[in-house]
Amino acid sequence: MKDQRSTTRTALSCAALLVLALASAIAAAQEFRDLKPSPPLVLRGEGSFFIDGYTQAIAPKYISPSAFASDAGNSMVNQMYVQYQRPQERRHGAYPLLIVHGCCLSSKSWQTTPDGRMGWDEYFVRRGFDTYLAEQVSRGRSGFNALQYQMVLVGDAPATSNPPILIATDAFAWNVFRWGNFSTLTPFADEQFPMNTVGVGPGSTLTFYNQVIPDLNSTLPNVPAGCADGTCTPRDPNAVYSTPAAMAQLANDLNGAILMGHSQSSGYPTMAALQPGSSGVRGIVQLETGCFGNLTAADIDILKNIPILILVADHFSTPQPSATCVAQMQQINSAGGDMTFISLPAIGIHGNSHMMMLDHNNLQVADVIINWIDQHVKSNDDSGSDDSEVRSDTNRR
Amino acid sequence: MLAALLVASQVLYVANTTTFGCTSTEEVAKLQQIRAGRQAFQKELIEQVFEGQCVEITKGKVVEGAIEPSDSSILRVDRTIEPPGFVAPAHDFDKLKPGNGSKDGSK
Repeated sequence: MKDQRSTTRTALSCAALLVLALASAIAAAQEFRDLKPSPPLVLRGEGSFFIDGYTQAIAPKYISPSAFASDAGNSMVNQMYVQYQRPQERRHGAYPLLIVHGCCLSSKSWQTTPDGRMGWDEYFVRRGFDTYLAEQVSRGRSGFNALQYQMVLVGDAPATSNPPILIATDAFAWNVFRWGNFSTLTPFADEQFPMNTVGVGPGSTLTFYNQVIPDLNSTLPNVPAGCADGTCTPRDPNAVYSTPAAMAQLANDLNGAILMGHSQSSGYPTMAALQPGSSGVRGIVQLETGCFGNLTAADIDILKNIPILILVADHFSTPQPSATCVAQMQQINSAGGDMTFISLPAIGIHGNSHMMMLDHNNLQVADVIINWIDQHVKSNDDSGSDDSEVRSDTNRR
Repeated sequence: MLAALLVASQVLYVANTTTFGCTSTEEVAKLQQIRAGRQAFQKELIEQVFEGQCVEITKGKVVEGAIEPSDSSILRVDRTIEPPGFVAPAHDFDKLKPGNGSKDGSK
């Protein structure tokens, strides 16, 4: 009898554990379960690589508390991670797209939406573009320089000297992404963002917030490596130390690319085009908003040769385009350039958020960009050749 | 290759306070106007940083820069590393002496 009760209890316990395990598995698999099916994607290439950072000597005391002197060596910092897909059926005359995410985010911004729909990276590939996703230097899978924090840890620098890390909260997201009223969790009536992924409505999740990660951009050097002591003699003159510089490098390597930035990175394509030696930027797409009111005549002379699109979504509290964008457009266009401003509501597309690439109508918005590219960016005469596209992580400089 | 063209003769400055640089003098003027009100200033600055119109420059950070020819109150920083660079309040920076990295007492 005892044995029977014991067996029954054990069976019940096992059943309870199984239920718990299943419930836990269901909760953990929710994002995967939500993925929407899509037809086969045929590629002629797929891969990833880094745009080099630079190496920095690290003394043992900065490696870890348990490090030995023999561990002293060099550490690579500020390298930029890039992943790409190249479709089998290429869009005629299209340049590759190089896309960079905004603040507190990663390349995930362009991939599957938090509610499981197709992201822009896959869509652009399906529309025939070789598509490169870069992670900002110091974010995601890209490298960053942790030395300063270690110096503080061992008492070699004051804590106040640590660069601030930008941490975005849910309240911040509601405000800046323009979803509606955070205090009441009330979205705009026509909001296109999948609000059920940010805690709105019955059965909602917080899935989107998985994408929001700390922003370490303030750790990036403002002068080339080896120059911070005022000597101005970079130890490694080939060092690439900023996202725009790395973007320019990649656009050159690709023999031409269309650069797209969003929000924090919306100005990066322009910065890339203005890098010394930059010759590969064939088009610039600025998503909210990336305008410059401080261009020199020499800058305008470069930018007038590159078509530029500014694209903004809905629910701005200030008039669009901004005064800075208006001024830049006047400068560029009066110099013979081609700078276009598109407001989605003005062309009949309403309710989009700052995160338009994840909105319910994200593919419709992507089509606006593709149409602009078709109409404004010159055809890539070399698009039939793969010679320029073979990439390796080594010996690229 | 690109970066190899950099930096033959930069002038370096060090931020003497935590400050900012922006892509337009209008935004600099706006931030300067509200700088005394810490909360409003921080809110505006963080939003501008988030949207890429400004960058925060912490006290002690070394930047390369040049005084704007048309306005000596403005220092254009990071032109070499992120052209066209950012415009910043010049009085928030001290020029570094070439070679030893100490302040040279001029703006």
